[in-house]
Amino acid sequence: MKRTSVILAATVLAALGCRKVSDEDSGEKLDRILSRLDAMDKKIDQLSQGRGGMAQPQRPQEPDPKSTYAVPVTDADHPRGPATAKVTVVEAADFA
Amino acid sequence: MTLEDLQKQYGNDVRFVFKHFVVHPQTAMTPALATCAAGNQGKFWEMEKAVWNSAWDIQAGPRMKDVTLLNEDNMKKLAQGLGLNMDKFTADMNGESCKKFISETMQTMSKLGVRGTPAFFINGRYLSGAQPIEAFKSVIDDELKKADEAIKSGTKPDEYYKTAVMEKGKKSI
Repeated sequence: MKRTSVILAATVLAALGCRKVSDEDSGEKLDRILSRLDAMDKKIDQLSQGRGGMAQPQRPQEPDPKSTYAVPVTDADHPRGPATAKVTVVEAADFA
Repeated sequence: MTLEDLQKQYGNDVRFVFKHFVVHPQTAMTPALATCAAGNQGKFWEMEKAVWNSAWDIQAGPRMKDVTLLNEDNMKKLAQGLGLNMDKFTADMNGESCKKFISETMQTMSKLGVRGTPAFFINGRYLSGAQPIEAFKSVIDDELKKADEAIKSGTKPDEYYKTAVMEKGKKSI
């Protein structure tokens, strides 16, 4: 019985203590939270604006038609036409 | 197809190479494997043509007639029509080596920047999509000129692709 009331008293005191401390700080804390929220809002705005203005999510780049690419040709590709042909036309294709 | 027109016009100055790039595996992988298997018996181009003529209405676009014409049963019928050894054809079509060849080809082409089909490289120069024949002719004529100059100054014709395209070309996008 005695022990219970001691614990109860301690709890009440602690709770009061906490409240006291938080009462003192709460204004300041709230300000800090609000200013952080503001900063996050700004960042979100910047990001969404940025996305609208940028060329959409990176599309895979196509080869440059002005460059030459080393496209390997082997017998396994069944080249049609002589090996002495001056021009090799490679077609990448599927049956679709 | 326009490639055949080009071959008529340029004859032995132009050679054609088909690179598998299967963008639609659920329908296009089976015929790709079939052409690979036919190629193992020296009939790649015959099979390629047979597949197109069987499954597509060439006059109408071309437009695919029926997707079931790309299944294994029809591939076997076409192979039979070409007089292929059917045991070997069936084994090759379902074996690992054609699968591996197609996937390696796709990796190579993807590294060079191919993202869809059809895509063309004319002596290594990229031309995307279905283009009017004039677009091909313009690049081919340009490349013919360059090759002629190189050959005049000493390059052997059968080494031109190796020296001008493979050695000087970019290895990846």
